[in-house]
Amino acid sequence: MSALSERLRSIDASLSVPLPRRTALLRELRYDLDALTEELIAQGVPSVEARRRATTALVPDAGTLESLESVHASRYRRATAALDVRRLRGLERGLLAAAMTVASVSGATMLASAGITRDPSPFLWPVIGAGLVLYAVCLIKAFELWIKGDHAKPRRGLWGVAFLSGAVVVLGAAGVLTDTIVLFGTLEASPDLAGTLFMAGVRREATLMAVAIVLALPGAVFWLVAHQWIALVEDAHRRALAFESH
Amino acid sequence: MIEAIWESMGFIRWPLAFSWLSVLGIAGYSSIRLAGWSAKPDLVTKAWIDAVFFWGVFGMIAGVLGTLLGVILAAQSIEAAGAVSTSLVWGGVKVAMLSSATGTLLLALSALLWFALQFRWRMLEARDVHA
Repeated sequence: MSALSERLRSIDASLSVPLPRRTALLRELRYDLDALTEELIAQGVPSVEARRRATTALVPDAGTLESLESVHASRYRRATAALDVRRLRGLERGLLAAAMTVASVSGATMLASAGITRDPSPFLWPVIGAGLVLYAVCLIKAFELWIKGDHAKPRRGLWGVAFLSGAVVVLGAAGVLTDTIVLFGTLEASPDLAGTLFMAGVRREATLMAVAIVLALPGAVFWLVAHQWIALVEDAHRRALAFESH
Repeated sequence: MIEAIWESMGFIRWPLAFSWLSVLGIAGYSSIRLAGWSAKPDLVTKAWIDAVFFWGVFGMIAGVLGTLLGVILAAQSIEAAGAVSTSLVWGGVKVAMLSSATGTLLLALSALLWFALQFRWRMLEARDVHA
């Protein structure tokens, strides 16, 4: 790795600016360094010395880095810069709780109006609970990536979204299997009830699985979108730092 | 026949069609990125290759959802009507299974495409490591 790449890496590590903007800053700096080095070489300065002089002249010091951070921070960070960190965290948690309450109430109304909560499987509630946790995690991750611009560890928690999406479907499938075993046990004991119980059971279990899938699919799509976005910005960032891309 | 299958799948045909187009489109785009000697095994291409498999799984799950919705509607109708002819019930189940079959076919195709593209990506990676 060249001395310049090493220097760019240390600047990158000390800048807490959203990733696409950090990449643009590093690209600009690299371009300016290359231009000044070429200019010095054209004036007859040896290449190693030219690179050293360009680095000394252009690489930002701690004060400049601080002002770069305040200029390029996300809008959210700039808007909330005056607030105390603990108070801001409390406010963010309050907003999340409010958003989840609205989602729960509107979801419950939708389920009730569709007749899904009439004679439901006992597994419907854990499935809905897991779905709500999945949406809360998606909301937190989306907020962190695209509003707050906190890209210190962009992939943190992303596999949790994929895991929770899978867990909602698996929980639904486990519910269907358990309910079916219970139903077959009942039918074995009282075969004369088959006419009424069988179709009601089929409807109940199909509803449970359909709810689990409907809850899990948006989470899975969110995971894909976030995963692709991170891959794109990380690839551009690695190129700006002259890393190998794999 | 294809038109009859398409019509019988209800609203779930749209997410399924979207999944089919996504798998074919992304696989085509990834193939272009991986074609030729100058192709690079970068993270972005890898993310696109993984997206091929993702939309295959999405299509299969959407297909299962279509079947479940068909079964729910059939069960509700049978519960409301009481005794219904057996051939009508199994006919309905057969139609409901079409979306699952279409989704599973898509998953199989996407898995094959994913495997082939992944193989090419690994070959390019190995070439770069040895270079």
